[in-house]
Amino acid sequence: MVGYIVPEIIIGAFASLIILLNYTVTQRKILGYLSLLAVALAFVSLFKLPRMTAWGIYAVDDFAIVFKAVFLTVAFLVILSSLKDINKREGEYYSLLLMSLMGMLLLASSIDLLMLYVALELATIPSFILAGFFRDKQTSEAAMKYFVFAVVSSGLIVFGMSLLYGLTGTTNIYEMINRLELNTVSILASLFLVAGFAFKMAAFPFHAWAPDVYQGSPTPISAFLSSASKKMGFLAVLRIFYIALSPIANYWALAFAILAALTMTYGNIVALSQTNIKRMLAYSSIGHAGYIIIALALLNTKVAIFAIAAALLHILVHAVMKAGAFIAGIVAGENIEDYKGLSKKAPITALMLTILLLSLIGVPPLAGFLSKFYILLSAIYAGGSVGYVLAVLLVVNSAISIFYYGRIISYMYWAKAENETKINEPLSVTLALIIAVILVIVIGLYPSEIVNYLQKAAESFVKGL
Amino acid sequence: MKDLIMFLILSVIAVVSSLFVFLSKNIFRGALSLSLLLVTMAMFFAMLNAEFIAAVQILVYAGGVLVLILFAIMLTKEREPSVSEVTTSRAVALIAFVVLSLFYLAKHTWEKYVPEKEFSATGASVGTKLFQTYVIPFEAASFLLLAAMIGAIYLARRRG
Repeated sequence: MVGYIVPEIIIGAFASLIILLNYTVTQRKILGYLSLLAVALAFVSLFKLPRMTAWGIYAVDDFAIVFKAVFLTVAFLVILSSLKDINKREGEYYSLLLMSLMGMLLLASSIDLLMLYVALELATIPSFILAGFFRDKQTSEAAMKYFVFAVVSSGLIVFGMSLLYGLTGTTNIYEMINRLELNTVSILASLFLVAGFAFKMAAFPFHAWAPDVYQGSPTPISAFLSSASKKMGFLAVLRIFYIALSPIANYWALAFAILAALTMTYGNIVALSQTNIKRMLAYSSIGHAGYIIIALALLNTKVAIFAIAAALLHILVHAVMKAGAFIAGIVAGENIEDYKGLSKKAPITALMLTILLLSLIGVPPLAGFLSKFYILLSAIYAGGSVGYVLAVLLVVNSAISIFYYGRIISYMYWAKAENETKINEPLSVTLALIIAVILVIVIGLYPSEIVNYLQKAAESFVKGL
Repeated sequence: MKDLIMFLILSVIAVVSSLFVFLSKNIFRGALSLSLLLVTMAMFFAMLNAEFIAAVQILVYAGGVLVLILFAIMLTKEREPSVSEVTTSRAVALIAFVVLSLFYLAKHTWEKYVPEKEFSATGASVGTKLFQTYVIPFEAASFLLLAAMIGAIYLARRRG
């Protein structure tokens, strides 16, 4: 009966349990382990989920499963890497993290604008508090910036949605297709939605909050924001634009093409001059958002299904790589100077970070190469001036990114550190890094199964259940 | 005819009170005229046969949200509020935005898509929708409130 919503129920129940236990349990470690258990249980339950639609607002299709798996994986890595500073984190930390995760899981299945909006807010509002969790000046500033930008973008999204509802008389995205016509108001609605979701995706010129927020937040939360929260924007855009707004696809596809070109170029060029690692990763994450938006720009072409599969692959791979790269910063530090001679100070972290950075550059046979390659292929298959320009820009930007990723690798292995005292590498953080690296390698080595499944997922979501 | 006269009276009240919200220098008076605007909105809903929404509008907005705003004003009373000046460029931008959006919205025919005619906003029908079709977002919203509450208590609590 309620089989379709089991992962969300598990996460919600544990979130409530943890907040209750927070005031009775003296050992805070237990709360961390409980939340890890919740995420693991929810992940296992994904394999048993029935494929169905409930009430016409909630669909469990393969597309939703892919995103749920991404969110749960990132949350697992984030919680694992948070276990290090047990005393700094109170029970609210894990509880709010799980509630935000619950919102993301719900969002993955939303096929109704109302459901989608509530889930989006459930995922976003706890993350304001998480961004400012240490309540010092730095994290509070990050939280405040994040709050203001997220609320403005939510306002734009709601306005766009209300116009769509006024035009079509329905909030179900599959019913909208037949009722939506091309006119000024539907263009206006899609403009509001593009702008609102571009904030969530941190696409240029709506990116300004991302570097400040990622830099100011506690490092595991930076990983959570860039690897999970940001992916919600792509998820919602794929659902709303490719399905509901398909009658006016030619208009918004062009907007996404422009956004993609600007976003990847801007992100990669600004990343070159950063000296703070978290800031650099934030700009690189803007660049990668640009790569994913390439696929969104191809949704009105004949290769749309392939482009969606490529986007899903890059979303999955980038989430793991970026989470891992941020988590490495917990051990190594934030400043680029801290990375000099890291191979001597913290050899395991340095090795893992090197593999993740190579994957971010796109070195075969790692997963980052594969996913970029598929996006490139879909741009070339799509052809036309838009496809070829975006393909060329993707290659050029990948070349630019070698410089700033490569600089960290060269600092770690070839630069001399001022003091070469060993840094303690906590087991939990190392474990999170190893999981990320294994995922990156395995996806890179066995692509065909995953790509086939993603293609199936893309098809399932186009048809509807 | 009766409806038209009623609508015109309410419109004048709504427009004047919303102008007063951002023109008045005294923030407390601004909040009070906002409450007038919200009550007028409730009357509009009542005129459209949406009694339930009218009641919710008064309960949630005129009741809850406004009390929250007044509390916020009272708690931050010591600080001098910074009222931004109405410059020419801002006024032009505002007027241009209003005129353009009115132009686009007026050009469009909305009657064609009156949403779900058979659905009447009585308590029973709203309850059925809320606890059947929309039970998942309803529960999600309750988690959302819980998260906001936990977060607010956490941020307000003293460290350690």
